[in-house]
Amino acid sequence: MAEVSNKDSFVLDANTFAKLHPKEFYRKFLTNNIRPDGRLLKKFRKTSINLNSIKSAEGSCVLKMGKTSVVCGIKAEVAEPRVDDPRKGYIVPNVELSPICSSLFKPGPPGELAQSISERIDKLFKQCKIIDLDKLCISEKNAVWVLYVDVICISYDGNIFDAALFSIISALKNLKLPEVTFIEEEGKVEASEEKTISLELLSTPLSATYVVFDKKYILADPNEEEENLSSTSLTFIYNEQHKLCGISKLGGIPLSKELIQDCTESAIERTDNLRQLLDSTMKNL
Amino acid sequence: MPGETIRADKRTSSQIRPISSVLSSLNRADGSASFSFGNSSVLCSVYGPQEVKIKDELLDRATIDVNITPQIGIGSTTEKNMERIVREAFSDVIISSLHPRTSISITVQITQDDGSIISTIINAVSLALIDAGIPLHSTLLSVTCAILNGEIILDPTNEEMKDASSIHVFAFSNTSNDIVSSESTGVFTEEEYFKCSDICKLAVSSVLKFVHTAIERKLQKEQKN
Repeated sequence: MAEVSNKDSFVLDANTFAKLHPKEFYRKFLTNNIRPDGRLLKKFRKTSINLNSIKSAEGSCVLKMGKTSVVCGIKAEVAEPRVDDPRKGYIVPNVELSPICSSLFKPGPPGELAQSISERIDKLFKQCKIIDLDKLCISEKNAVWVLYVDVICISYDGNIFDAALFSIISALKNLKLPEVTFIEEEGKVEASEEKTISLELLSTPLSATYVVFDKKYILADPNEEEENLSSTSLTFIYNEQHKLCGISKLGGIPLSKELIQDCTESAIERTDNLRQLLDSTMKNL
Repeated sequence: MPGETIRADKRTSSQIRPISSVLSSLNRADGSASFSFGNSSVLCSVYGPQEVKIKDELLDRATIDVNITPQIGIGSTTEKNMERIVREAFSDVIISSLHPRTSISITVQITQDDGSIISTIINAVSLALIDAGIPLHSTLLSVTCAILNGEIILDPTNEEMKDASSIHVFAFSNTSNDIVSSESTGVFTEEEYFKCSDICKLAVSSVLKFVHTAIERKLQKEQKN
């Protein structure tokens, strides 16, 4: 009898197996074309947004993508323009990943991931003309708008870049700047209490991220565990005309042209879906 | 080639700038190399495998640590982003499982930046890793290209990158035909992306030839001494 019970105690239950052999656990699912959380390989997590929930910000968006959630708030301030660009306002994107969202992050100055994402978004703004910076000018050489775009992650479960970018674009589309006039004699800017103007976006680039598991399985919208298990990630940024605004492949596993092309169709579909979600949410405001 | 436009520095669109490199230029480092594409040059040192900080220790492989210092001042988000690109690109090239619970530390000093700097850094790091005798799966090399006025130009300078509609950095290894690392910014189409990848792959093979000669010459010198 004792022998039987001993044998029983060596059977691992699913949770223990997943902890001990996470890669093998994933393989068992992926060979059946499904992921442990029930998604198909190319399926993105359910995404929802809530617009203008922060009343003190000029534009804001709360986004949930599975268990990842971020808050984006845009604060507008009046500042002096740069000397070399007297007619252009500027945008300062910043992504914060603090210990609030996951134990992966430590308190203190922003870590590499947060800085790298801020930099990527900043580059995207500079190279893809999302906003006409001339429209942020209040008075040439005297006053321009500065948009502080802050993204704070409150729950981290992977794919933070997609979440951050979509929340920023959503918040920007809902941005309401007060109508202002520059009074030259006093060198002051006066804002009207009632009238607001919104900003027109020249393009709406959105991203779709994939990771490569075991060199052959491509998983869309990875959660934290999937990100840790795979060393290679692929991010596509598409604008509304289905033109690419960026591709980045991080990590050392070589990927063939076919595997990359395999993702592009699903990436276009995903970014289109997000755009539709944003439009329909804005209509219901 | 006839019909090709001549660029400001008298190169054709498919020409990279003159490459140069010095191996083992630093005395105390385990491995070091400087690499330059024309006026873009960096100096890289590699230490490792060495002791690792407890919080960074990995039980099954070595921790790879990349530090990039710009020409002037301390590193900003731009350098942090490059550090991430370089570290992730080399994460599967270095056979890190051979040295678990250690760290391999890569330090890069940009000495001159005239465009295509990420590619210059990747090439310098590759050479320094070889010089340090760190076990590698393959040699990873990189070339940048840009699309300027609808034409693909290789190895752009800062001046050309400023006006370019898109910039593409590709890294290839000598053991595979596929893209190991890529970073593209700007607006472009899928077709252009793959065209750039093909052109960069060709250019990388000529950089690889250069790297081979550089290492051979260094070994010959060492044998003489």
